[in-house]
Amino acid sequence: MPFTIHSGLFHYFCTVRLLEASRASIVPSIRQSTKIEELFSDLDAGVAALDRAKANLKLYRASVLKAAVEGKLTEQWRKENPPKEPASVLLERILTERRRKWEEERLTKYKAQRKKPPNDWKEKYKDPIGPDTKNLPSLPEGWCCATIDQVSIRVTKGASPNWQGYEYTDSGITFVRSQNVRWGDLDLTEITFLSEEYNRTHAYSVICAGDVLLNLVGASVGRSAVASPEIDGANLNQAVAIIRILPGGLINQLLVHLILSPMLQAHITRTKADVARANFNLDDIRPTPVPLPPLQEQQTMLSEIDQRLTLIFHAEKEINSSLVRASRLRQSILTSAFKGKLVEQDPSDEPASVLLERIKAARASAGGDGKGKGSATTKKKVREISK
Amino acid sequence: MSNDTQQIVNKAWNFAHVLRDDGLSYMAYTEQITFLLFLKMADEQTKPPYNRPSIVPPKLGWQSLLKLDGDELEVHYRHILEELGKKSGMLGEIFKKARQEIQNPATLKRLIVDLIDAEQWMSMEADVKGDIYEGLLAKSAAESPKGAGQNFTPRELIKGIVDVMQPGPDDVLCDPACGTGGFLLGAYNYVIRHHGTGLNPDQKKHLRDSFVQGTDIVAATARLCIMNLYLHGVRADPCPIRSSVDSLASDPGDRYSIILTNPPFGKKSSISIVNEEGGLEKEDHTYERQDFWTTTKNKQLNFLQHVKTLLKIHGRCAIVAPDNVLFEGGAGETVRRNLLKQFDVHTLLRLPTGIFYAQGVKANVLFFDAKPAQEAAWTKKVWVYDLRTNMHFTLKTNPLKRSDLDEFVECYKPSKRHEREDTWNEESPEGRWRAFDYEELVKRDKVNLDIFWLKDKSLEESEDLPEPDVLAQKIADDLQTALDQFMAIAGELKG
Repeated sequence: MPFTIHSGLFHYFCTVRLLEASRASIVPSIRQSTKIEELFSDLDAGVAALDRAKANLKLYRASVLKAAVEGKLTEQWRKENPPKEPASVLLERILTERRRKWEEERLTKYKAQRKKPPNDWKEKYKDPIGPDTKNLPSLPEGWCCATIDQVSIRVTKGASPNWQGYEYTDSGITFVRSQNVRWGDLDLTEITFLSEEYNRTHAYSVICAGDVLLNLVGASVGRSAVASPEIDGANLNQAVAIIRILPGGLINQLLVHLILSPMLQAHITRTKADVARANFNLDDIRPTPVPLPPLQEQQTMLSEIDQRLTLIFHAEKEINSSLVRASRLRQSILTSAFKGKLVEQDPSDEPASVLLERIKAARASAGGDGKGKGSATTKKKVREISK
Repeated sequence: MSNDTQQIVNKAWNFAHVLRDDGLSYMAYTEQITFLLFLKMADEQTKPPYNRPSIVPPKLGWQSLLKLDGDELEVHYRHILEELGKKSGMLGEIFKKARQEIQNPATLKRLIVDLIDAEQWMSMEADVKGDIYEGLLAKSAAESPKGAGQNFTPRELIKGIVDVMQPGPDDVLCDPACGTGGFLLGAYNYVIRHHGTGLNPDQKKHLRDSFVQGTDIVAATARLCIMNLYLHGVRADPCPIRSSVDSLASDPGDRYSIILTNPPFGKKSSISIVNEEGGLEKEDHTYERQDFWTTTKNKQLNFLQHVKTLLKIHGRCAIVAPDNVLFEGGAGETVRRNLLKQFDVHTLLRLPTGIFYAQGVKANVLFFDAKPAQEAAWTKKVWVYDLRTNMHFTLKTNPLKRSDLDEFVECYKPSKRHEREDTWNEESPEGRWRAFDYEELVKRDKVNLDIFWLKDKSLEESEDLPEPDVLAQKIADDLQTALDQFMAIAGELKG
């Protein structure tokens, strides 16, 4: 229906800033406007496809992590490389090391306090929480099930500095908050600082490079990343947990991928207490079950995950660029149309002034500002152009 | 081009068009021309002034074809192709798996008499017949952008790369994915042009016999390469090209002072190989090689690992590699880390889109030198030239010319790399040439070398709005790359 299209186009004329006097403001002929409609509907379809692709990329990422957690990514590799040491043995080593490290830390503490350790100090060691043996999924050959408590030497979180009387400063020690922990990486663009003093009073939550960070609270709960060397010695608030992994056990980056996998994200969602703010506590983290593959397989798995995730990341960037370009394309098409470049000029085309009159008349008869008969897509386009 | 030459070229193309209507692709046409041309040239060599003994058995030679007509001609031609394919050496390589494809015996007769027999090809200048042949090759590539054509390296790009690599008469050159021989010829011609008059007899012999070596996995392509070299004056016996060989299968043992190559793109080849037993093989298996740093299915990463092995100490390499070699995690990170440490990776040229026959290809040229083993890393700085951002090339309306590489070649400073200077700095942020230190590169997440710093005008909020077709093309290019990646993934998942 030509007039309905043109009433929409009339909005283009008004809202697009191209109608400045300096440009030859050629009102497109009907053929031009048909061409614009054609191009725009193609563009809309393209953008819709891009949006779908973007959504599918997210799903693909989730499915990659799921496949990793279930051992499918390394299935072929497992067949060709039977493990030198099954994960159950690895776990025993980890538990032994965990105890040893605990003892080492206690001794260092006693020494610093110049105290002699009491006779039964070793008894104070608390065995880590083991996995809930009910409801365990079947694991691939050579794997075993562990908990975060078992594979880590410390699970803790920070505090809220303002409540403790500390103000943010411009420099000093870096202070990490939940907005800095993203899906597998850190975003340190918005970072705060606290005075050096804070690390002395909150030594237990000082971050070491290699720690696994996990968001506990709010909309960003479940996000996790490995602490980079950049934030070694930083501190963090109560919304973020530190999981200090035992070296030689579960690889920290792999734990991050496991946490971000659909399985564990669902676990976090199910577990978090239904309180005013969505919450996942330290006591929830510790017993969280994680599959433990043998060491070599962990390396391979990490390599396979990295390869796919970098491709996904790259593809997302391309799609986002394409979406930006698509909206610029929309403008570019209009500019071309206004410069008369979209279709060949035809002398038999209606002159601009006549067309404009017809449009005004059509608008008047449609009653008002074109809200009546303009198609939904053209109105949407108008809104987008005027953004 | 002289009138005579122009006539020959026109004739060659007229026949191409006639046969095209008959259903023969440019590629197949070029193949048939290859066979006939070879037979004719072999025949010319038995006559004055060459008077050499015939390399083709007389009953299979050119004269035997000339006397025949119609079906007899067709049958005999077919027989010749079959028989010669069984021979050894260059003869065997040219005719390996050769098949008669010209449907109409009358057309075949005219091709023989009017085009091939009408000229003296041996005495024709190498440039001329070379150009005719290269023209056919380019046309064949353009015709099948997703097939063989996807790997065709634009000749202008080859010239630029050769101009900075500056091969000399004492070099030994290899292209382990030689295709139709563009790089090999480019290097050969460079040496002739720059050193031609000053060569001693040993050097001349070397240039003719052992300067270039190449491998291609596809017999049909290798055949064209051999012919291409032969027409340009490279002696083809013993044959410098190994055909139907998968370079990646093993370390050949030979070492070279220069490697120039553009390995095939794509994780999975669209070509299945029919092996010697007639079985179907796919090219995407992993290669377990001692000299490789890591095992991967990624063909480009494997080629990178392969060429680094092929280099002599202080040997130099220029390899065309797609973007994923620069950013892919996992095996990619391992390869990049090792390459930067053990080799002097000094230059990265980011190529524009729109220069290859395959649409949307995003590629680069990586330049590195082999060095003796040492503890410290060899790479000190990687110099990056961005010929991609805000560059719009198309095959038809704005093809890449050698002059588009002038600034790059100037910045490269081939024999004076220590004198290189950035064209980028804070005051001139549009500079396309910039150095990055080894330390900052290895700190990057996954040693990602996918480096850009120029502002992409198609993404910026600016008054400077590109034309619609430019924007649409950019979107298409990006999506094509993404599409290729995901088709590869989907294929992998189907198993």
